[in-house]
Amino acid sequence: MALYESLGLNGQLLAAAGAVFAAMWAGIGSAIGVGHAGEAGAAVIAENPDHFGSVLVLQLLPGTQGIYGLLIGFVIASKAGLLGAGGPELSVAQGIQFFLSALPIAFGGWYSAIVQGRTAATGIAMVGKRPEEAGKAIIFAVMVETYAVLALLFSFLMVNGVQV
Amino acid sequence: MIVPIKRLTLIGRKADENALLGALQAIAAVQIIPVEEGRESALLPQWESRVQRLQSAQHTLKKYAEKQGLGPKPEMSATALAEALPASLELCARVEELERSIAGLRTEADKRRALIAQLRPWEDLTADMAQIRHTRSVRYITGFLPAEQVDLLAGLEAVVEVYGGGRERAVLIACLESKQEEVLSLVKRLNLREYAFPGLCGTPAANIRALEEEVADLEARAEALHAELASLGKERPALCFGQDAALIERDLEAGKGQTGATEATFILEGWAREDQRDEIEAALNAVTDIYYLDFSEPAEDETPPTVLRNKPLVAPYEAVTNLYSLPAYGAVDATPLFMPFYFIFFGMMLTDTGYGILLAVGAALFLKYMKPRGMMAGLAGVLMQGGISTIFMGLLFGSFFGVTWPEIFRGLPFENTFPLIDSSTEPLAMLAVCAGLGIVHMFFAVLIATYRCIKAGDWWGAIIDNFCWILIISGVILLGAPMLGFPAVLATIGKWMAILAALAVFLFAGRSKKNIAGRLLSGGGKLYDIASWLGDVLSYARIFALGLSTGVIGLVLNILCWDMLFTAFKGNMVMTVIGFIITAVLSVGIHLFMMAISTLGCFVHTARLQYVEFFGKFYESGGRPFRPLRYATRHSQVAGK
Repeated sequence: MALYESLGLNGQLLAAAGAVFAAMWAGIGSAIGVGHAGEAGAAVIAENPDHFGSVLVLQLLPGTQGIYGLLIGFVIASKAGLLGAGGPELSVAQGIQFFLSALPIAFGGWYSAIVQGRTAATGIAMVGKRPEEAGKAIIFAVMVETYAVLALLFSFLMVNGVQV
Repeated sequence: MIVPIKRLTLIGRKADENALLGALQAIAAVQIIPVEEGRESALLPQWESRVQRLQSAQHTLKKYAEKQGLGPKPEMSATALAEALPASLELCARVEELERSIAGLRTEADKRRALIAQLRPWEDLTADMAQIRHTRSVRYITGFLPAEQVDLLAGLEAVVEVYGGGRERAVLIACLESKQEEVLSLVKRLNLREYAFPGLCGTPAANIRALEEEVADLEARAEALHAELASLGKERPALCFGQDAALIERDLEAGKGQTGATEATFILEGWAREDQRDEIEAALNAVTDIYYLDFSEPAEDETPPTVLRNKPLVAPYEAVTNLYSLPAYGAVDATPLFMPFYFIFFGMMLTDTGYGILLAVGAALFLKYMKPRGMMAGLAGVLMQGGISTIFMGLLFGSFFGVTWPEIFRGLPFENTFPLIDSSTEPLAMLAVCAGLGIVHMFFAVLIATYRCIKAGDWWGAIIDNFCWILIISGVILLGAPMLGFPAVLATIGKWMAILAALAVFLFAGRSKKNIAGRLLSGGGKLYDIASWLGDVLSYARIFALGLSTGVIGLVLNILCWDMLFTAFKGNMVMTVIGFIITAVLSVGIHLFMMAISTLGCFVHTARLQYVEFFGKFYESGGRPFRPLRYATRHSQVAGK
C-alpha cells in the first residue's frame, strides 16, 4: 500500500487509466482499420463509382471497435464517478479491477480492428472484381468482428462485477 | 422451398425462331443449355456493338442530362422499348458525329497552337519566311540555341540574327556557301537545334495572327457543336431505352446462338420451372402451333439450377440465403427454417424500440416508393421485419432511443415492468437467455439433419451423428437442473442420458472403419465435437453484447447531448433555445448514424449465426442460380407487352 501511495496512485486514477485505455486503443485500431479499408475503397470507386454502397459498408465494419472501446470507457468512467464531482471513493484494488476490465476491449478491439481492416480491404478489392459477391466479403470481415464482440462482452461483465 | 425444375425441349421452325424465343424471353422462363456446337451468328457482333455504342452515347450525355431524382426505374412496355430503338440509334449516331466533329476541331486547333508555339520566338523577324531560302552563294541556317551560347556566335564568319527571349533563342545565320560546312559544324557543337520554317508565306508575326484567328474560329465551332451536344442531354432517356431494347435483342440473338439447328428447324434445350409450364405453353401458343414441346425429368448426372420460392413473409429472407450460397438442387431450402430465428435475433441485437420504429418505417417507405427488385428488395424486406421485431424486443430487453423504460413509463402502474431483463444490471440472466435461444436454434438444425438422414434411409447417421448430440447436450444441461431448484432426479436422468449417448457416439461414429482400433479412435475424436458445441453456444453471446452496445451507446449519447451539452447552454431564455436547437439537431444526427451502424452490425451478425451455427449442421450449398433468357434491362423495368 505504501508503494502505491508513494507513487501517488489511487483508485480513481487507475480507473481513469482503464477508461482511457479502452477508448484509446480500440479507437486507434478502428482508425487504422477504417483508414486501410478506405484506401482500398477509393481505388475501387475510382474504377467504378457504382459500388459505393457495398464498399462503404465494408469500410465501416472495422469502425465498431472504436465504439465498443468508447462504450466500455464510458461505463467505467460513469461507474467510477469520473464524469463529475462527487463520485464514490475507490480503493486501489477497485481501481485495478477497473483497469484490468478495460484490457480485453482495449487490446482485443485494437488488434481486431486492424486485421478486420485488412480483411475488409481485401473484400473491397474483391467487390471491384465481383460486385455480386459483396455479401461474402462482408461476412469474412464479420468473422473477425466476433472477437471484438467477445472482448466487449467480457470487459462489460468485468466492469459490471466491480463492487462500488 | 426449392422449385422443381424440368428439362425442356422445344423444336420449332426456323422461321418462327425469333418469335418463339422472344415469347420465352418475355416471361423469363427458360435457361438455355448451350449446345456444344453453337451457331455462329453474323448479327450478334453487330447487336453487341449497338449496345456498346448506345452505352457510350448515353454515358456521354450523362453530364448534360437532368439529374435523375430518387425513384424506381421507369416502366416501359416491351413494344414501346422496341419502337424506341430506331430513333435512339439515330440520336446515337448524331451524338457520335458531334463527338467526332468536336474532337476533330479540337485536334485542328491543337495543331495550330503547336505551330504558334514554334513561331512565337521568331515573332520579331520581319522577313517573309518563304524568302529565306538558299541562293547561289548564300546559305541560311535556322534553329534554336541555348541562351547562354548565343554570345559565342560572335566570332562566326557569318551574319547572325537572334530573336526572342527565354532559355532557347531563335537564331538565323546567313553565310557564304563555301563556309557552310565550317559554320554548321561549329554551331552544332554549340548545341544548335536546327529548325526548318514550315512552308508558310509572310512574316512569322502575320502567320501567328492568322493562326490565332483560325484557332478562335475552330474553338467557336467546337463550342457550338458542344452546345448542341449539351442540348441533346434532355434526350438521354431515349438513348437509355434504346440501349435496353438493344440489350433485349442482343440477348435473344445470343440465346439463338446457343440452340441447335437443322436445315429447317431449331432445337432448344433448357431448364424451366415446373410451375411455369402452363405459362410457357400459353406463350408459345400465342405465337404459333407448329412446334414440339417436351418436359422431362433431369437426368441423373445433370444438376439443374436452383430456384427458391417462398411465401411473401419469408421471401425477403431469400436474400440472406443468397448471400451465403444457394442450396444444391434437391437439398433443403433453409430460408423458411431460419426465418423465425433471424427475426428474433435481429430484434434482440438492435433492441431499441425507437430504432425499430424508424427502421421499419424507413424500409417500408423504401419498398413502397423505390420499388427495388431482387437483392435490394429482399434486404429492405428483412430490415422492415427486423425493425418490427426490434420494436418488441426493445420493450422486452432494451430501451427507447437510449432512454430506459422506467423513465418513460414513470408514474404509470407498470412503471417497472419493462424491460423484462435489463442487460446492464442482470447480464448473466440475459446471457442465459441468449445461450438458451442458441441451443434451441442449434437443436432445430440438428433435427433437420436427423430428418434428412431418415428420409435418405440412413438411420445410423440420423441417430449417431445427429440425434445423439441432442441427448448429450440436453443431458449436460439437466445436470445443472438441481441448482435451479428442480428435483435431483433430473440430474441423474441427464447424467445417464449424456453418458449413454456419448457411449453410442464413441462406439458407432467410426462405423465406416473396418479396424476396431481405428473405429474407436475415430469415435473418440468425434466426441471431441463437444468443444465445438461449447464454442457455438458461446457464439450466441453476441446477441447480448450487441444489444447491450446499442442500448449503452444510446444512453451515452443522450447523456453527452442532453445532460452535458444542453446543460452548458442553459442560462437565459435565448441561450436555452439556441442550445435546444443545436442539441436536438446533433442528437438526432448522431442517433441516426449510430442506428445505421448498429443495423449493419445486427444484420451481419444475425446472418453469421445462421451461416455458421445453423447452416453448419445440415446445409448443402452449391446450387447454381437460375439465369433464364429474360429482359435484362438496365434503365427501365419492362411491364406488359
